[in-house]
Amino acid sequence: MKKIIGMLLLLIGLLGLIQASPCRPEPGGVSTCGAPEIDPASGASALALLSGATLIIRGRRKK
Amino acid sequence: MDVTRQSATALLEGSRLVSRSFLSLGLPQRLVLFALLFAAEWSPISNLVHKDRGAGSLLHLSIVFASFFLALGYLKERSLFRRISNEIAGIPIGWHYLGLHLVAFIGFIGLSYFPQEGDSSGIQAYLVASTWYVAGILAIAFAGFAFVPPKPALRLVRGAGSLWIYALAVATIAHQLVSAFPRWNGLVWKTATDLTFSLVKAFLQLFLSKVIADPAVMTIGNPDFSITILPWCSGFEGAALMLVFSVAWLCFFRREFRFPQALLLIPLGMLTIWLSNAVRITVLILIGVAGLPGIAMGGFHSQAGWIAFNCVALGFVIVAQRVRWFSARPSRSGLQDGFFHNPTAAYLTPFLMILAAAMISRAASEGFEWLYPLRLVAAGAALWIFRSSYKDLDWRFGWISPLIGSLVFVIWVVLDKLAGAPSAGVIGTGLAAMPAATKITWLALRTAGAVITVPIAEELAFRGFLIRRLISADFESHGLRKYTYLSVLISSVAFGLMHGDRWLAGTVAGVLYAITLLTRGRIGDAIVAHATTNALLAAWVLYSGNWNLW
Repeated sequence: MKKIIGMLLLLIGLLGLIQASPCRPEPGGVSTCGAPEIDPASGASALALLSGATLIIRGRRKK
Repeated sequence: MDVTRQSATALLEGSRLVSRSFLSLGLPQRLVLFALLFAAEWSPISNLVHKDRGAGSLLHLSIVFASFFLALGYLKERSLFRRISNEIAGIPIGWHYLGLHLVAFIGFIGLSYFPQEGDSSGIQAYLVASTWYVAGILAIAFAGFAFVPPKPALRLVRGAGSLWIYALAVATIAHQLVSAFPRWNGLVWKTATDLTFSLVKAFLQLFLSKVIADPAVMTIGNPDFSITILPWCSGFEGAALMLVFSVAWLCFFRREFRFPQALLLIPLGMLTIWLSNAVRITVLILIGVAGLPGIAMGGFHSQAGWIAFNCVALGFVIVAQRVRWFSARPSRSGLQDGFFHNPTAAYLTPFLMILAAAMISRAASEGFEWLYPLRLVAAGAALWIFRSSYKDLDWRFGWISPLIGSLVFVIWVVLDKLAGAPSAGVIGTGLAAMPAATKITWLALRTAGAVITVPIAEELAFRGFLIRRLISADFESHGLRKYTYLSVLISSVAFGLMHGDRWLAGTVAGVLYAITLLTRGRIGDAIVAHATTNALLAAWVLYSGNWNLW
């Protein structure tokens, strides 16, 4: 658990460096827009999903 | 009699050990205090420090050196670090050194107000700069000695042997690389962006008859829809996340892998996530070309990267664990599946299914989540699959649960008012565009999700699982009344953070639901309290039209 929390903190630290780019709509019907790969706004759900799934993968126990 | 006395003595010693470990200040705690003091003092004065004296670079170098020295020292000379940590645990903080630190620090600030080198004569500037440096170094040294006394500090440095040379070398190289970063990052980013651009173009040509690709401005698409691939869309962000994740995973669980072959997983993971980014951009363009630019640039754009990262990271974990060439874990092939069980899965899967369904439904939306019922179905399916695992939980509830649930509702709404959150939301706009029957169905399913599946899934995950799992890996061996203040706090903060801007209300709610659960050890109490809050919120939203609360 501590290791997964540690890994989570590392990813959160890195996420802090990642910034979404602004969308730049242009006239003339062509929508030219930057599409950043990672959206920090959705980070909490995504990292919770990753942490939970890794806990399940490592959660198998002998009966 | 003797056994009883021995047990009592052991218990007493154990309790002393616990109280000492909790209250005493070992090396790690002292280093944290030193870092906190340093950060608290440095932040307000950082603008005063003369940049042209090179203090900033020297400071960065010192911090990197100290970090490497401590990390390498701990890995190589763990017993020495532990011995010194135990030794200084009984020594009080050196307040006289802190006093000297304060004097030197005030001198340092005073000298920072002196004019810079260009404004005064050579010898005077030299004297001021030298004294300024000495004051700064003394301030740091005295603060260090206040937390780690000189003698143990010297033994630590001597005992670590030549590690300080390696640490200094690594720190200097790292510092130089970072200093040179602006010179070479443009070249690297340009190459990566070009490669991504070419790959997206190749993928698009498989689906579109006419592809417009202008490498000069990195714009790609077709006459109806196009996007610009900016440097930060070139796959770097995902690759960096994957690099950190894979290195941390291999490092933390290093005993479970075969080295050096397991190291291959790092570039493999990064390559996979980089390729997935090209696929993401291709699909984004295809969605836009299909006439859904809102979804392409809205939900899909914000979710697809995370979906890809989660898939690749979990694929990495499974491959690293299951493929014999990488894994050093003993083979379980001879054992039947019935030999194992996974209690974590029963508690977490419903909640994770909600998160996964939410990512998918958001990816398919422009803002209004028309696919919200997917969350209800996903959580319901998970709860049904694991239903036999919940038969030992106490699902009863008392009258206090709805009361606490109502209290949380009041707190939630009041904090929302105090924060001045807008009442309008995308849900209102989305619903207004729907036919009446669809609107009623969506609202019914949205309310059912909030009142039935969400409380069950979240209470199982945060209260039923996390509070006990933070205490022990074998969480099922503890009853639901088992807790520590820290485990309740962490699980409540985690619950609060899942509510975005309403993290404070979420944290308070988490604490109150935890109290509800811990009072009688019944999961039913916490679920009913949570369901009451959500039911009242649903009624309030439907009555007031404050869609932002959903």
